[in-house]
Amino acid sequence: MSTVCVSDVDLVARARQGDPAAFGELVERHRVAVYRAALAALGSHADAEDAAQDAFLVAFRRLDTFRGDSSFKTWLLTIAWHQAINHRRSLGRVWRRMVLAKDQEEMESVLENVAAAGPTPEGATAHHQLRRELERAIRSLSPKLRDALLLAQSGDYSYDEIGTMLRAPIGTIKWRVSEARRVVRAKLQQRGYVDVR
Amino acid sequence: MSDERLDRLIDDVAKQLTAGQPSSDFRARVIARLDSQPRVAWRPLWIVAPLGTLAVAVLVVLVARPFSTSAPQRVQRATVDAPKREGRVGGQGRDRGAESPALQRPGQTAKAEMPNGFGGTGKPDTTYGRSQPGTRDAAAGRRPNPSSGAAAEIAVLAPPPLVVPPLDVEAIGLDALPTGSIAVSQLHAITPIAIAPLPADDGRPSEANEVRIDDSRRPT
Repeated sequence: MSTVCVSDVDLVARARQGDPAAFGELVERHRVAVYRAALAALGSHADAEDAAQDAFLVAFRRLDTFRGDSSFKTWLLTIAWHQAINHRRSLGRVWRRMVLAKDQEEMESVLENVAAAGPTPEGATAHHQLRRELERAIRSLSPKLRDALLLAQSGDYSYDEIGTMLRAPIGTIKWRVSEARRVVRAKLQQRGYVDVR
Repeated sequence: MSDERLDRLIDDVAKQLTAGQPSSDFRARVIARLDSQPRVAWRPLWIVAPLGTLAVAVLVVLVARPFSTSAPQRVQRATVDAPKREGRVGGQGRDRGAESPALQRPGQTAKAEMPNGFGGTGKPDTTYGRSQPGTRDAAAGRRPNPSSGAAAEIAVLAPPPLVVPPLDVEAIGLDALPTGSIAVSQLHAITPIAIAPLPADDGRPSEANEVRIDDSRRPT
């Protein structure tokens, strides 16, 4: 049976009845959103992949508890976020030392590509340095501010979904995003990047 | 650099930090993990509950068994019952009917003769645990209790019953209360109060304004 036009609720109902294809379709539909939420929390692609898979397994086991009060995506993202946060807590210091270093390398490769597209070599280098400083400043934010900023700017979630994930009102989420930007700006100014153009 | 431009840069970098795609075989991996995972958590309660009850019952039996057949008790039982057995081996042996039921309790008698379930002849005693004629079980028509042997062992080890001497306490006698009548002095009669009538307009007292107080309605 085709699942292209089938709603999430119908797929959930079929998955509850033991249809593996229905749950596979749910995985296909929401895997990117779940993965990026985990990536925002963990900062590592490998850990995000593991956490996202765990989230789908947990969701499958808890399908009976889904009552439809919110959308399936929101319900799934809440599970994914909790899984990622548990993963982040278990990583602890190891995450801070190793994952950040690994992501630093990944980020540098990304930023090099961005810099290569600049108009002049000097401008590209300056732009590259600025982005590196921005990335460092964002990572040094408090978890509350960083999570809100990354989830909001990923473009995959509404403020409502972010609020449900982080268990905070929408107004609080918006304030955190704004505050995160302000803190990052302040850090850049402290490092002398105010006049960079 | 303006704040707006810097904010756009911040948002752009934040977006890049969460940019990425899961592996192409992500769905297959999830499904594979679902298939390989035993769904123990969904095992129905009607299977788990009887299994748990059975396990508890087995555990109780295993724990209770050493207490009923422990070596010190067997040795003590053999020591206590040795004179009785000696008296019976040469004579009637298994004739329990000759024993006085008043001297021994039914369960105790059975246990004393066959500490290991064997009679004096060394053969398995098929009468082990049966109620004796005249006992409470037989009188009540009940089936013999398989655990009566253990109860008999406990009864052997039990201390003699305490005999409490009667207390010499004199009966408490209550004197009769004096029931004399209470004399209440009679109240003095209250003389009616005469109230002078209010002067009317014409100066003559009106009989309608005259007030008399009826003392007969007053409580004494």
